Amino acid sequence: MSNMPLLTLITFLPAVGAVIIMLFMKKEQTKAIKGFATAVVVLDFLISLPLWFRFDQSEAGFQFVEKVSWIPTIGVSYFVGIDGISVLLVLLTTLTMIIGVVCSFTAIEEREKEYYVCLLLLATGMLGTFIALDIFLFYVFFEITLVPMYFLIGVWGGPRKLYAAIKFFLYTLFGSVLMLLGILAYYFANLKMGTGTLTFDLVELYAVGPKIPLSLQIWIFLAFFIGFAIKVPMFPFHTWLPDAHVEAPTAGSVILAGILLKMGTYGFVRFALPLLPQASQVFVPFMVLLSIIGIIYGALVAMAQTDIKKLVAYSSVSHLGFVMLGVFALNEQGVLGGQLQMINHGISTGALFLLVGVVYERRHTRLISDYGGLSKIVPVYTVLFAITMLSSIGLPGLNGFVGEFLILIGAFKKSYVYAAFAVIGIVLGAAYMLWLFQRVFFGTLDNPENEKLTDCNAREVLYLLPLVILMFWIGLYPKPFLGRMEASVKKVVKMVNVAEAPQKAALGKMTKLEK
Amino acid sequence: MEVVIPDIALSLALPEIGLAILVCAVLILDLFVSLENKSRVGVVAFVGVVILALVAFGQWGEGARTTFNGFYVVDNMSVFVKVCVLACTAISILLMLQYAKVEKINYGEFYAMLLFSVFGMLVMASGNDLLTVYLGLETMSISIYVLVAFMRHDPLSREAGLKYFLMGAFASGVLLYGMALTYGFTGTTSIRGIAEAFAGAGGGAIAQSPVMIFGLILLVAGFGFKLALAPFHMWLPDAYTGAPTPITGFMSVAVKFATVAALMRIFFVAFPAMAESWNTLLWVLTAFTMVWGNVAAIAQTSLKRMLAYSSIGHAGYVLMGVVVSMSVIDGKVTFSSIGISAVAFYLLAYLFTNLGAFGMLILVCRDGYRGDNIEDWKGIGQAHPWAGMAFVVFLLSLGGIPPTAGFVGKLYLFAAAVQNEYYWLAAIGLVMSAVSMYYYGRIIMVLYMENRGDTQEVMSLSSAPSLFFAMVVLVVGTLLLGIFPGSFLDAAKGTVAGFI
Repeated sequence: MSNMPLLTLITFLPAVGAVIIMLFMKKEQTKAIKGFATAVVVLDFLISLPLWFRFDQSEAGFQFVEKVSWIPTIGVSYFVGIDGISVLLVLLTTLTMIIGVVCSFTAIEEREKEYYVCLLLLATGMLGTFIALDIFLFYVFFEITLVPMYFLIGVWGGPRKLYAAIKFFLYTLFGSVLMLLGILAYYFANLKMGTGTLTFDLVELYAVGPKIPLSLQIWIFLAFFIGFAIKVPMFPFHTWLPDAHVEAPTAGSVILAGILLKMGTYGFVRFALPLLPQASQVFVPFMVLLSIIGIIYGALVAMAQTDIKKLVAYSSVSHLGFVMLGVFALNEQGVLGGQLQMINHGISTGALFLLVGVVYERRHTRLISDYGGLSKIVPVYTVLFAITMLSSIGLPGLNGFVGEFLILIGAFKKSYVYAAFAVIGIVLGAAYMLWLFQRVFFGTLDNPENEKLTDCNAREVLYLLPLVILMFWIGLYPKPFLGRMEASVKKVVKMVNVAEAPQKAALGKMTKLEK
Repeated sequence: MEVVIPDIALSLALPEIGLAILVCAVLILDLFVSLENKSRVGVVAFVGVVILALVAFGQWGEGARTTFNGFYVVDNMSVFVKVCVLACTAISILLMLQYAKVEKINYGEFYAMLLFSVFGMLVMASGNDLLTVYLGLETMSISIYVLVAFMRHDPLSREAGLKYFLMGAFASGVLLYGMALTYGFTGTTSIRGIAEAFAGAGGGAIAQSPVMIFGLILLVAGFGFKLALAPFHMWLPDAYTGAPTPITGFMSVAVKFATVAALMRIFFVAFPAMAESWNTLLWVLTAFTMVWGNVAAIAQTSLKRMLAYSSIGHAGYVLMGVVVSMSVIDGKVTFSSIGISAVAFYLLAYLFTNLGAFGMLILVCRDGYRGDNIEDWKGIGQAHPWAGMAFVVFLLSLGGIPPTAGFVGKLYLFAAAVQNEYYWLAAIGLVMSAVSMYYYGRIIMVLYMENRGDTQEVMSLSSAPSLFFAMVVLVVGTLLLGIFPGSFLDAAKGTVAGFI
């Protein structure tokens, strides 16, 4: 059992499922396809559970490691494994995939076969991104996710789907090709100044980081920055996000917000920070500035939206600003908070998109002005929405609070100015969310069409329930989550701050000499 | 006077000799086959070419050996190019079998001309002397002029053939003039001999001479015409659009293979002394070609024309590999193996991918209908899921998205560029490959995302087994090179041995 290639199984099971659907199922058998796709993602979630239970919290390095030589000519291997930084993201992905599949049963009514094939392929791409410990492998998965998502938006999207799909594709592709340039530069820097071998092996490259001269690090950091910042998306690279979110089908939005955006923030923590420690430190003010602009700008724009989905999309920009702020505080609390906030954002924003999808399916409108007074006719929906909204705001007792609190501590330790600005974002976040809630759920039920609105059905409650449970769980008892991340986060923070040490040592020497 | 008879190892030229015999056999066979059964000639040509590819493959890994008094060299690079050109020919014949029937150009001469051009390519790959290279180039070019104009009933094809002929003949002249100037300065046409002349006494002065530099510019321009590098690409969109589609695919791959092989041999081996001059020239041409090909492709509404422009862009990528092979270490010019092997691998990836893309066009050809307009392809993805998926694979590979051959090819090229510190060229190439996904993505959009009008019929696909087989080979090749490129990368690396 312990020798089973668990991560490989988890990653490629959805792809195998997709191939089976493609080969053996007719497009008219929609029920069978839905059932089979559900079975695949549920099974995938179940086999990913050992990652939670068998994960060794005290171990900072990689676990469940598998390594097979793949393209020896250029030093590429199939090298996968997880640590505290990726374990929760993998689990979040397998969970989100179940929700993504189940929430599409009624929302998608045409070309179901291709739809579920795309969803399953997307799952493989995302899982692969999080487990890859070879930069080449990471890049391959990172790019592969573009294709199914392009189809999801472009085929099953809203009225402006074609525009949104190509914008999403080109924007992210543009970023990732420049990142590829950075990866290659690093690869050859390692050849010249590091291990002297051609390798994409992350564990080997981690040791090389501090040896690369700062001038080169800065260029490589910029390349990585463009690739990941577009994916996150950080201000000012966020313009593709609202388009993609608004046009994507509900499951697409949930996966996009819940998982795909995390590939950017994860990329910073996994690659940019440890591989380029000195440059990361140099860029702190710049990154923090962009994060804070993102937090405040995202919140302000969200406030001005008339479309609920667009509002949630802009709130993502704001929330991911928080994540980035935490990460670039470069201290334990900040990175830990950023990590947790990635999960939190996946849970609460994913849930918000699901909730928007629920009413959209019934009323085919997402305009805030078309709603009002819903609390009287759809009580269950109202409660679920309220919890999710409060979690998104960061109410103590729910998950958002823990993450934001840690991020603020981290930011405060770096500079109280950073924290002060970030707090504005929290206030604004509460403002737009509560205002949205007020306009949609309170007031008079003046639109007669809303009177026929039915409450959440069992299936909808069922797929929202795990998310709500997680909101409370992380909010009330975050220790199992933080505990799993802590060791690895400490290691990353140590690696990124290692660069300061020689400078200080040199400084110490100089003062000694003066004496 | 004593006549020295050079030692001629005929076995080294076995593929070429075999090919010459095959051409004759095809020509004679053609006389005895009735007009309805001309496909049989094609089948004979196909079988012959496959056998010759195996023969050529047998010469792999035996080091560089020259024959015909040094006019001819067989090394890994030439073997690699020959095998790939022959493979490309075999697949093109398969594509042609069906296309010839649909377009009513099912004549035996077609296969003979095709094999003549292949003969020229093989000679180019092995040419160790400017004259050998030139003879090969002309054999190839003249045969292809005829092939481009082969659809005599179609004015577009005739126009394409004439344009290509006029431009091509002019380019050959330019190239020959460059070679003549080189001979004038160095007193030899032997590629190794030229290098020795540059390295010997007075070589430095020759390299500085403005007339020699002019000659070098002529060589670059001549090759630029043949490879359709911008701004020498004007003939290409018309020639590619007018030519029979299998020939378009064949030209886009095989001609590139042979020409790039000859170009590398001449520039790397004969002209290292002037490397910085030609390198700068090619740098500019490469950047310009990548940008122009990819940007102009965006505006096209004809699928074939779009692919024609895209192949201009790809010529730019191939040439980028040539450019970035050169690096100056301590004032000494060296050619890195990674650049050369990147060129070899990229061309191999391009073989499967681009033939596949043109193969899709052949798949929809019916009597008098070519599916040229991009809009015609609406809804294919739903009506013909497997064909749609195959097309997506080819387009992603052309755009350089994993897990396809095009991705590994581009990655290897850019790796070469980065290693030799051509950062700007790499950045231009990478950004342009993102741009190229705009028009490739647009085709995917038409295939899957745009709704067909009620009046528009769905295209039907040809069910010819030869075509089906060829497409399966191409799809599998494209994916195989993308997912398990290991042994192919090793082969590409092996081409460097004995080459420089």
